[in-house]
Amino acid sequence: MSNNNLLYRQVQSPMVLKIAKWIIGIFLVIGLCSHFIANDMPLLAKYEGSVSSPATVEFLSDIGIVDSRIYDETKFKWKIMPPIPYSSDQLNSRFNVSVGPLDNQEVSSLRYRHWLGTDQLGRDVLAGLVHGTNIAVKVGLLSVFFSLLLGLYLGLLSGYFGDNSWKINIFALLIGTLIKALGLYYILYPIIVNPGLFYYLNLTFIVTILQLALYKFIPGSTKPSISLPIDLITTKIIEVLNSIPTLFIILAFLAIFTKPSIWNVIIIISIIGWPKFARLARAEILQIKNLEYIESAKSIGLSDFQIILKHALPNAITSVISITAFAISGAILLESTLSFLGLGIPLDHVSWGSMLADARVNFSSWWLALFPGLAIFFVLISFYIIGNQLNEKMNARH
Amino acid sequence: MLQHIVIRSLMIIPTLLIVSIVAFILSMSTPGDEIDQALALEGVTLDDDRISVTNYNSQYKKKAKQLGKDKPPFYFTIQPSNYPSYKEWSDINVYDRKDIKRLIKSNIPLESAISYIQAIGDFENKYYDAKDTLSADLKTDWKQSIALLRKPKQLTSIRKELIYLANEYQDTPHIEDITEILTLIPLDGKNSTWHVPSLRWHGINNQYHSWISSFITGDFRMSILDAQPVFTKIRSAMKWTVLLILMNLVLSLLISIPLSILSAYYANSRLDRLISGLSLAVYSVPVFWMATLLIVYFTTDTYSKWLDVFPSPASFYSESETGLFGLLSKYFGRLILPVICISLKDIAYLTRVIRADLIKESTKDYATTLKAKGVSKWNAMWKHILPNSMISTVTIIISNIPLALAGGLIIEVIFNIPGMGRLMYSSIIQSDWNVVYAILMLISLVTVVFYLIGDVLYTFLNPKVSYSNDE
Repeated sequence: MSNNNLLYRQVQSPMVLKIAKWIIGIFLVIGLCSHFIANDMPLLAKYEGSVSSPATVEFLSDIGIVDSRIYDETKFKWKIMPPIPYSSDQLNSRFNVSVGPLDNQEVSSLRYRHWLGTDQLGRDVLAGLVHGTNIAVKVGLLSVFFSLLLGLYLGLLSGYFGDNSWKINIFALLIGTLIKALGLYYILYPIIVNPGLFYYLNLTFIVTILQLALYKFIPGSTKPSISLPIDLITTKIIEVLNSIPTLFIILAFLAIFTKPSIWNVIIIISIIGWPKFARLARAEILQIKNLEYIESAKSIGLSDFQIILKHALPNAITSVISITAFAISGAILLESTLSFLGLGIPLDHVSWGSMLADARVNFSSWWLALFPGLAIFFVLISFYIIGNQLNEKMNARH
Repeated sequence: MLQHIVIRSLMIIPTLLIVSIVAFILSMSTPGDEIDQALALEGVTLDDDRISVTNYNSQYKKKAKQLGKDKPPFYFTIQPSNYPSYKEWSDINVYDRKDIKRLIKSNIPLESAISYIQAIGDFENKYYDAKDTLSADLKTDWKQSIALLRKPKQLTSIRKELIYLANEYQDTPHIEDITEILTLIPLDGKNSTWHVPSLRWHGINNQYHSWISSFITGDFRMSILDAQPVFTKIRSAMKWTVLLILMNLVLSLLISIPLSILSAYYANSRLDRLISGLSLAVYSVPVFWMATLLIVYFTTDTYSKWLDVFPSPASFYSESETGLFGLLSKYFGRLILPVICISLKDIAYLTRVIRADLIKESTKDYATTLKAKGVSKWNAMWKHILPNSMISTVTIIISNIPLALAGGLIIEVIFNIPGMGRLMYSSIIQSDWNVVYAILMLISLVTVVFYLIGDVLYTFLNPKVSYSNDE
């Protein structure tokens, strides 16, 4: 115990922890409300005789709920602007060189001042930071969520069943694999051809009937006959993923997408990230699988999957959760690295990495190189500190 | 022990095979066309005349044969049953392939798609015949209708557009042709049938098989971009990467070991806290940000004249030097900044890990005994605790080397160093897949081997761990 205290004492200072928590809180709030914090559209305005909220419309259209709408800026009777009255992609024609935060900016009022300067196209750096936060939050949280799900699923199954105890009927396995392959094929089908909904329904119906008929009429098709080496499969996939350095495998995966999109990045980072979770979940369940309460759960007739869900999962999840903070920081770092290289995120989205890439071209503007980097730095270090704290709590439990 | 090593090394083979298959499937799903790119580099492009089209077709097929791309990609393919087989596909004119594929995707049978595209080809020939006599207006109009006919995105809406065009230009000579062509294609979509996936077996005469068999025998093929052997490209790139990794290793060990010893010696003091805090902070600095800052402040004279001490990363490296030492002596100044960037993260990581190891060792019983015997704290640390903690430290350092490859990629791209990472990056962007395969395979081999070495070394140095009582 004293050992752990020595190891983790230095980051445990309550002041540092408090600051880290505040930074993460601010990061999440800014990321989720970025449209209401930095926007060239007003929060509330009187437009064509009625009160409307262009910023909300933009926010909803960004999620995909409503269609985007173009407002004529001269027709606002009155308007309430967001705290930063610029959006990340708004070009300012008055400048053809970047303007520093300390320069004389000749703006109408202090409210319209570029507090962190602009880049060479006149885009406000502060607004870019706010919108970059949005992307970082999206990528960080969603990719970690997906990899957590996948890692827990495979880790729990492989730890609980091992190589020998997941008994499956060979027929069920073959038919199931065939049906899953067909399903995958028809999920990818719209990319290849356009069959229409009717064909899907038809196919699902026929396949279901086929499956039921086979199960019903083939003798012994419900009795387990072979065991599925789920542990071997999972560990082999993890080994393959681990054998290529992260950036190399990401570059190779990114090459197959024709259109850059934030979802590509999220999917790829989750594919890269799940082994960590799977390994932890597997180790955790290996420890508890032979404990008495699992035995007694078995003895009262709970099925394997009920035991995994009700007893194994709650035990494994605490230690798995303890590395999410590290995983989120890793995802944010990867996203900014990729957008720094100009890959993955569409070019019209401003992200911290792409802002830094701009700075590489503009040597004379120190503010372009400094502020996005500081943003990444503070978010990463806060997540590391929180991650250390979580880890320590988990270690103390054991 | 030996048995364990042999089994572990044999397990590398399936891993590498899976990596090769994954890399191959990835290359098959990329949108870019390698042959197009290779031809464009040779100066063969499509121009606006008939000779160029036929010429391009024959050149393309020749190039495909030369690169081995006319074979089926894998041992088997799974495609919708209305897709043409590989043989049928290779008979189709290259120029028309994309258009026919698009038509097949919209559920039009292969035969009608081919006849439709052929009719457009005839129509196009008519255009080329009459090209010189046409007015500029008519020329663009004719071209536009050909383009519309070739790329029917939404077939029903395209028909409306074409009818509109036909009505607009009543007097143009080609209007009957358009209406005739349009009758060839069933536009109402009734022809769409249910296409089950069909599995086609191609045997061993396929692209993957020929690539992997030549790879195993040591022939890495040619780069498509400059017709250089991939092997020479990788060898010259590998030199730089090895140089970077070695310099990184030396620098990070030189700094992190003394720091961690200090930190562990004065555990929990103010100095320890400073070092640990600093290493945490340095660990959170993104590599590319550090690189950008260093480039901006140390290689340009924007801020002050004297800061411009290092040469700019935009200038080129000459490839004449052969040995590592030749490179090192010539480019030492230019490699300082990149090595600092790569090693900062390693220094931070190693300092934390080695410190933790040292402290773990110093809480063990023998350390307490040493203290009771009156051995001075410094002697205990230097003579007993440090050698004991080296076991796990060496393992960590060795397993950390492949990670430096990933960190090296972005540094090589930023600092313009012609190493493996930059080669991979540029090859992926230019879809030069022969190079990418080779790099992926080599890097995964290196990574797996280093993990194996770390593992074996750990057992070797620490007799307590044995694999005999493994489950």
